Amino acid sequence: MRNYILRRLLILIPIMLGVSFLTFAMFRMIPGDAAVLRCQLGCTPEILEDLRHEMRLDRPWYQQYGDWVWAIVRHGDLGHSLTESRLPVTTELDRRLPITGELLVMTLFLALLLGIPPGVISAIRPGTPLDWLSRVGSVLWLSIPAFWLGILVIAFGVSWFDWTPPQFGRGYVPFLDDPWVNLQQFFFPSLVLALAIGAAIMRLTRSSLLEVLGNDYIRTAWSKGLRERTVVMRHALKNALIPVLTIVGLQVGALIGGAVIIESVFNLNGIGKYVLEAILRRDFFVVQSLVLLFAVAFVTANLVVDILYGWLDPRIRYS
Amino acid sequence: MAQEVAAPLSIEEAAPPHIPASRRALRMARRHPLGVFGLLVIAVLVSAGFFAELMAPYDPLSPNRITKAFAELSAPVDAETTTFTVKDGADLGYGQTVGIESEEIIVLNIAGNTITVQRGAEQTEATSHDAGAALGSSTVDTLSRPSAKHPFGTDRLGRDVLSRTIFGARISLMIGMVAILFGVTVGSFLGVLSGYIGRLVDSVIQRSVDAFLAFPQIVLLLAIITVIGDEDSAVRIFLADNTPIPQGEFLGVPDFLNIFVISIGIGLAVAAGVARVVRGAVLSVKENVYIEAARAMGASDARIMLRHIFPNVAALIVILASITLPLAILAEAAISFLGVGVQPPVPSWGADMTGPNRELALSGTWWPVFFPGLALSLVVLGFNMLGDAFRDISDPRLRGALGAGSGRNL
Repeated sequence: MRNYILRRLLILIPIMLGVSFLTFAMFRMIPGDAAVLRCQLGCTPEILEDLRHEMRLDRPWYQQYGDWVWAIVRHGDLGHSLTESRLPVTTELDRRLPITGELLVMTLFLALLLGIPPGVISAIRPGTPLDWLSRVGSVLWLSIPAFWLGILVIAFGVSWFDWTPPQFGRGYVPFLDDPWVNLQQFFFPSLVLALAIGAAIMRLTRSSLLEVLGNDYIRTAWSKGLRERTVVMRHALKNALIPVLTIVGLQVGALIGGAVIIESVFNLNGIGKYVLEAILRRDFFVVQSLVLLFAVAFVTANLVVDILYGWLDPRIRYS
Repeated sequence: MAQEVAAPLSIEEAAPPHIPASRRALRMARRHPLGVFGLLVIAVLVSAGFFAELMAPYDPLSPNRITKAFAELSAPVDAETTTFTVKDGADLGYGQTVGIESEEIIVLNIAGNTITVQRGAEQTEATSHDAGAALGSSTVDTLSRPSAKHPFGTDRLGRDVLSRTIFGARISLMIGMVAILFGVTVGSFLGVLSGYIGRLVDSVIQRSVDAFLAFPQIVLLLAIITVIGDEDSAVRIFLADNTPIPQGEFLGVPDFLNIFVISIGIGLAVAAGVARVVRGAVLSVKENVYIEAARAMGASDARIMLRHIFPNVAALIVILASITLPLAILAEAAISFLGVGVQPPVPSWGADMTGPNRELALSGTWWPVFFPGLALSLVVLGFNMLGDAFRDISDPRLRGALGAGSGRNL
């Protein structure tokens, strides 16, 4: 088991190098770099050269990339922004990680809540109005883009209830400082993001549970005279959840993508907004570092999923 | 559900004397009402995209400029003087001075309801109600609520939201189709090569695909499009200099080259996924005895790939294309929404939901944002429902199992 986890974590190294280098290479391909973007009014070739030198963009590409990697290995220093502020990436992360973290945890929680119970009900009562309702609902939620729904929530919140998400007036309020304001800040963005993911989970729970319910051991459980509750919860659900878990793990990528959009809609200053701004400003050290972080998050989430498999199905061995 | 239980039986029933195709289609339609609904929605979208000039009552780019088709139907609203076209790339913010120009009138400024125009040497200022007087034409209704004249209302420049939504369908479809065509072609080429040749080629292609897939999709798209959409980007310059792709207006779409470059960007992201799936299929196809037979007969690798492998994965590729099309449409909307994709004033569903329209929505003017988003949702819904129906028909056991949900990345 320990070897398995270690091996999986080792795979991270080439992935991290790969994605960060790909990002670096992409942004180096275009002639207009961050210096050109900063050097707007009254820009002369001399000023541009000075800026490049100051931003250390005048050195060969392999030195730039190599230095960046070496700083991470030696001090865990992710470099700094190429904008005038020159803010270190790690400082920004300290400020922004809690925001995105809370958003994603709440989204995942809501998505499971919206996905698994309706999926189970739908599967044990197929063909009933309840089943039909949750199936149609799931297709609907899957099709509505989160950014549109987000704008509508804010727009109708304002015009019908005279309510604006608190983050528009003031910044992020941590949960411990004021739980009520904090929940107001995060509930709707999380819900909007969770609907599509919850719908995907619901569909998968339904079909997977339907398949498991057709197995011989379920018939045996019924014929023993067990209550429905026991049959579904103890015997069927646990097995049905394995494919669901896989999808939840894979959805981590979609979750991060969703955060980029929803943070911009709901004005949350998290990682998603940070990466969007950095891309627009061609601040490639920031983009590289964030992409690195995403890759780590994705691989770790899927590792956790793989470990959970063993808990759901003890027959699964790690090799 | 009843129909799924009946499915295996119907195969035996269908074997004896043939049922006319039309009857079979009708029966299928009755069994899958949601699929029919999806098909209808898609049909409406496609015809809106193709016949936008005929369906849209107004010009999507300039207020009150009535499109040709409708100019004949409704009374011409002083056509000669109303016609002014928006100058390249000039989208108006509040109170911003811009040049909207025609031969005789220059609109200097549109701020809220007030319009300043210059005709020749004289300057006139007017509110929207008597802007007509200033322009010598009908009024420019800015931000009017949905009404009989403008069913979806008008935006802050007085442009008809319905017309913009209809033309938006064309942009969406265009980008979606070019992206899929490019992505699926490149992806299946790489997939077949990777699966059939194996060894080093396989490793190189698959590790590159790994790197692409390790990004969250939207971040990858944003990065690719920022890079290749740049005015000085090599891709753009290459396309402009070496291909017949028009740089100006084409098929009623202004700045076609930009639209094309965006499609290529989305196509690249599509290609990575397609290459992975096609490779898997090729690996199993190439173990077939007929491949060995072809090789024994002295067929070259190229011939085997083209004539024996490709036809056997073609069905899969078509399915992949149909699943990915709505995702590509959604991707275009998302990146345009984030300000990286299609740029105003080109009508795009995603771009129309952002910028000044989004600010307006926050203060209660919902229609410029609501309708483009509704159209986008309906289209994706249509594709998802059609996909579900197809899956039911081809494999009743899968009832809404994988598909739309699990493949979704936005």
